[in-house]
Amino acid sequence: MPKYEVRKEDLERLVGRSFTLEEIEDLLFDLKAELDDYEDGIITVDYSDTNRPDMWSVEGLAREMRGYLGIERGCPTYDVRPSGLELRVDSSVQRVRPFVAAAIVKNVNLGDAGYEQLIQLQDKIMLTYGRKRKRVAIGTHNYDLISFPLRYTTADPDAVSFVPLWSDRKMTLREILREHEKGREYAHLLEDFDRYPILLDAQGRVVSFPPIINSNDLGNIGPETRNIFIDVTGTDERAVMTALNAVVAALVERGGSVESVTIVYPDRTVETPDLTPRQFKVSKSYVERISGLHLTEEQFRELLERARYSVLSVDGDLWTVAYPAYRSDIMHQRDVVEDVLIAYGYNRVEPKLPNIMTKGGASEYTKLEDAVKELLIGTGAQEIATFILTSRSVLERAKHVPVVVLQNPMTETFSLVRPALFPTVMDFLSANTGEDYPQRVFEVGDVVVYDGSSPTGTRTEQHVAYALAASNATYTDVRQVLEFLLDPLGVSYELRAKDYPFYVPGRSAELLIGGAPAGHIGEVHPEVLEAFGVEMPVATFELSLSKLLEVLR
Amino acid sequence: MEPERIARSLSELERRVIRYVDRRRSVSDVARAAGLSEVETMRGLQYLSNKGVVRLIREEQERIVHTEKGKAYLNQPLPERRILDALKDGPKSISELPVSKEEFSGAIGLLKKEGLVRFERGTLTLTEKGRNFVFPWERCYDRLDCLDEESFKLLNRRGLVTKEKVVAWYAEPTELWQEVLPHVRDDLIDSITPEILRSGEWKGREFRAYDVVSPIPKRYYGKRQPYYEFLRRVKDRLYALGFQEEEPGEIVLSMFWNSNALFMPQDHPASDIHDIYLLSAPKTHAEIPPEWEEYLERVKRVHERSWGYKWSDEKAWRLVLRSHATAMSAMLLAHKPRIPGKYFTISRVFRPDEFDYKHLLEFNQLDGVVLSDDISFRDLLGLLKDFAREFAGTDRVKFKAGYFPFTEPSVELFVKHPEKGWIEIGGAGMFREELLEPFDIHVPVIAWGLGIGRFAMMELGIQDIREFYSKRLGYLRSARKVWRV
Repeated sequence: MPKYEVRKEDLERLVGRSFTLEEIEDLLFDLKAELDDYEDGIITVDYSDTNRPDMWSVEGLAREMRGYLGIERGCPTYDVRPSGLELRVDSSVQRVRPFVAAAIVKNVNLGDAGYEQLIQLQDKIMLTYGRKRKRVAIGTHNYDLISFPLRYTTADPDAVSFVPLWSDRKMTLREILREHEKGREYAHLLEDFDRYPILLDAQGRVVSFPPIINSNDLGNIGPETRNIFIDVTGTDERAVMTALNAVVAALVERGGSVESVTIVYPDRTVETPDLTPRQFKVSKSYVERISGLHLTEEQFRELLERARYSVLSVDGDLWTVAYPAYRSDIMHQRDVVEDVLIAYGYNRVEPKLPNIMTKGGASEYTKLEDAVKELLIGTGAQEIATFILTSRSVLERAKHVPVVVLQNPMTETFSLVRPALFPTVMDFLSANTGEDYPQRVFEVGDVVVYDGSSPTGTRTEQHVAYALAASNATYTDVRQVLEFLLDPLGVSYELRAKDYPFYVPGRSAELLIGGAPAGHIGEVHPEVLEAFGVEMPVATFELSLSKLLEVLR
Repeated sequence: MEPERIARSLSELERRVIRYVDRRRSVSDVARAAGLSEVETMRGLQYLSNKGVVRLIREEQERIVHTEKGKAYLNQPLPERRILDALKDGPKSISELPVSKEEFSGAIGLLKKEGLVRFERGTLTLTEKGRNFVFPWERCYDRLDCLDEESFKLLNRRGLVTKEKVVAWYAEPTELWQEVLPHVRDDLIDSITPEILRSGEWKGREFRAYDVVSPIPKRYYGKRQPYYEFLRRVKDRLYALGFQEEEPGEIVLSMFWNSNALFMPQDHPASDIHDIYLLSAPKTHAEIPPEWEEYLERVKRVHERSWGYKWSDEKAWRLVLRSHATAMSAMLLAHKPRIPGKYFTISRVFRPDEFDYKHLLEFNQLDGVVLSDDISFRDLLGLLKDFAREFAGTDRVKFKAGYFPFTEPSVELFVKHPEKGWIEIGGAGMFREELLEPFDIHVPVIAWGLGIGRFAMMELGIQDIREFYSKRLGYLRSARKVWRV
């Protein structure tokens, strides 16, 4: 969820009226956002939608509010004058960072507030929408210092050098990745390449080194900068365009006028930014069916316009609408339904209960689980709950072999998925050596076992494990519990003598249900007890409820 | 309690000791008199003291005891005695004496000082006085019960005895004792045994009364784990609302089933390595079962068309741990659910995160779907309102537009909490058609999820979320039952 700060005063100026803080809080809530914090005139906005970069600055927020409040209606339009300037793309960028878009915005009145917003908007877009600059990176530069045409190409990391932003010395591209703060942060994005993307002006000066850093000489803008050149590079052309449009539209709110740049690819040319409203066809009855609202044509038109759509034509049920080019989140009529509902007000919609008759009930597994728990509680055992993630150390001490190993654990303590309950139950006993004995505990829960025939190489099963820790705990005691559990369930089972590394040899058995192995029972080997620091005899059993369920079915 | 009832409630042990506490006596005295061990006596007196019949007094005393070195002379005479006895046969040189060098140097001073021996040119001779002399401590050395102060000091200096603190218990009668004693009877039936029942011996006799109110040791039987029991209660409520529970699903999933089948693009931020667990064993990628191929192709086409990116099979088949319960809904939709139908699941999900009082690396999510030709956004809000009443006990709700990649429109449910103000308790929406299309489902589908962790914390009175999986048996044994009318 993108969070950003806006100055309350600035927001009011851009919307064209003043608000109490409560009014702003309600307004934000209605517009898919929350007021996260307010201090010294600064509002922190938490905006829910990760696909609406146009909404991540005060300018976009104000534009949307003007529509919602009915101050301004319909799709905003933009005059874009061709500058006649070119940005030429070398074919070598294809492999590294293939797409670029650019725009010139002149006569902007940024001031401190606008400058803060521009920097913040770029950061937020690059972080979330730009997938930490991989998909999209943005550079803003002082237009007046740049000579056209520009060249977007690649360079040898050691051959090109320039003074990066916030530095006072010339550095090669390689040095920037090694020594500059931003270079180190984003170096991984270029680690697979031997030539790095670079944007050069007509005099061969570096404008920017995307997606890392701008030039300090050309790319350093401030609150006073009037004419701004924007470049956006990335790996996804649509996202690159949308990001550029969002930034340009924000600058227009600050009085800027837009000029386009011709992007000359080896095989085609594109004029950017393209702020022509996009067209979309919506069925009114579809909107009504999904929303549950019944709308007159006038109501529907008003809601669309307040959501900043313009109605171009109406053909029976089919409405052709236009929406602003800074939005790329409209993929389906559904997206229009939500905008209409927001304009209508989520909290004005009258809730109703689904008028369908369904029968509710427990899963087959839950029914079995309930029966198992009831029987085991009847034996006087306490149910316990442990984590499914566990550590190599716990498995080793329990003499179990890991199955699922995580590639990116946060900590060794939670780095594997348990293949059985026995290890985590032993770990539980190990944490309770100070508690009164006898201890009778059981756990029912998920484990992930190896399964060569499954597409994932694994299978999730539900198991039950029971443990008795007492000065006189024996195999017979837990076998009595096991039989007390299985007999009433009406399954046929048999025990077959079998040794396990974690049980005392000669004092353990395999449990077969319907002829197939489904668990084990035995006296825990003193070596295992010692490893867990338990100075009390322990006898346990573990069985697969998934297998039991198969047989019962 | 009445003295008579007290008398009738005395156990055999109590009856055997009570009469000997006629005045202040040490516990060992009582034990000796009653012919019981000190432990039994103490237990009997303890019970009597609980009933207010006797008073137990604890006193700390000093007692003279042998040191380790001193204990050696319990089996053989002290060095001074051995020297004196040896000299009775005639004078002897030091090496002829039956003592060690160290013992000799410890004893010779004493012997000379008392004038019991003469020591000349390496030879010791017994004096007349020495022939029949007995040191005052010699008689007492074994029991140490008649040692005078001087002797103690001397032996203590030689490292043979020392003083240690001991606790001594005394019992004395209370006023009640006087009143109880006359009623004490020996003809009561103590335990009802099968033998007594068989013989009919009990007939016409009285039974010993019990102390039925004093505290007794706790014993623990079996009960459910509180958090799991809470989850079970949540399920009950959903059954009552007409929701069918889904069967348990797989924890290890491909990215495809965890995310992409839900229309989440492959480069969605939630697919990031910081937000999802990847596997390094037993496999890193899933195989593609042939029966799914057609469906996969459809999903891939929808993604490329709608999100405008190049689909990667490598990313789709990357194995992960289930990161949200909505993944279960994808599986449900793929397996021909009933329409109309209402389903839910409570599933464990896994995310790399901090591990502290408000974050876990694995937790349970409650997710569900409603499929019907006859539902709209209004039904979704109605359902959420119902959940708020059912799970948060409130009608004060408000709705905010939300964002989930798989639903549109999307909504977040807020309820008014008496202390915390408006809090979010769930997210919901209507599944996007791009998601439903490959499953061949052509009716609106409501999808919802409720933050049950929050309800559980309130219900269980827990501040630290790690308590859900408490390793403390003591807590589990004494935990309050999750129960509400």
